[in-house]
Amino acid sequence: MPIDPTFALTGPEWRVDGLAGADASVEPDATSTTGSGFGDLLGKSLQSLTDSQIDASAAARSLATGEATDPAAVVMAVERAQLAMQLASQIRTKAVEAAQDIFHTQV
Amino acid sequence: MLFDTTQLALERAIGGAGKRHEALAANIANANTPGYQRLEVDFHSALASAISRGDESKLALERLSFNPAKDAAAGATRADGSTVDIDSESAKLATNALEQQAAVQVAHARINILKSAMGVG
Amino acid sequence: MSMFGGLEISASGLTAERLRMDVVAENLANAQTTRGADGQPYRRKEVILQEAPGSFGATLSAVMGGGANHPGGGVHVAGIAEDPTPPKRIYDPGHPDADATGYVSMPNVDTVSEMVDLISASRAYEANVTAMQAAKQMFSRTLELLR
Repeated sequence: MPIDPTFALTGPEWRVDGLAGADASVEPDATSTTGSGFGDLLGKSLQSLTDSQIDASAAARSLATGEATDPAAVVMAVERAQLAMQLASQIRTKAVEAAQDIFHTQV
Repeated sequence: MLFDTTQLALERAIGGAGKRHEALAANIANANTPGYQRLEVDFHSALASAISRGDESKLALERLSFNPAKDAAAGATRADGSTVDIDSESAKLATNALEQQAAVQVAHARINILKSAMGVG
Repeated sequence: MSMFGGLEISASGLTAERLRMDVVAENLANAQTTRGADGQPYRRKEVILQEAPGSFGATLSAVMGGGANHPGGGVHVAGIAEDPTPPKRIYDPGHPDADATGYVSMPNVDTVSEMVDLISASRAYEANVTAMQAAKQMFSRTLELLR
């Protein structure tokens, strides 16, 4: 299942929209297949990615308005956002490769 | 990334810091001019008020222009009526340069975030 | 003002402070000159500094925009004037330039206050150099966004 982060480029704040079918309304139950459990996990990861981006934006804005009292906090927030995005990007790449491997399997 | 409010705010902060540098440099150049009134650019509060407009922030940020203005709150530091204290101007200049550097680095990092999201570099 | 407005402003400061230092040096060198070019004792010179107006474009947009916009253009040397204080009269009948009563008119240069001016000009010069370096750094850091 490919990850598709779509960016609302012209919106007020850009964000990573969730996975189709992996939103919070999916109830994990004891008899659920591994599919929806994985989806739930992915949804949570995306949520934390979005949160890290939002935190970084808030920190950047506090820097612009001069309210930032701790430069280290701003730097850490932006760094975390950068790493989260790189991680998501790597996961996407790996997932795409895995899907391609499956499709190329000789039956 | 280049379209979002935070990135626009950072860009304007970098520009505002540049304008403030001009004002502070003018103050330092006039350190010994009798009766000179110091100039200041308060870009932080201009940005804060533009950002606080909610939905209209982007428009407010785009329209923002930073103008050096006489600092009415400054008191005379010398008998000839000049309001420039060269040490305080130098300190403000250094602070301003660091703020500009911080804004540039954060803007750069956010651009890199977008690049890694796009799968570039 | 071009992109490098800050550099031009600091450059004007450097020129003005350098001129002040040169004038102080001339005053100190001539502190004992009783016979100047015109036969009169040397008169102390001082530099008159003025705030320079911003560039034409900046001033025009400031006036059109109204409000508190005041584009600073740095400093401008309005001229070098002579100090109108009368010369010091020292009693020294043996001096070749003594007048009938034995008094010599010495230049109105006070060495101590000239040294104070020199120190202030030197500090201001250094502060302008720092401002110029900061401007260069800020510009090159902005260019780093492209990397």
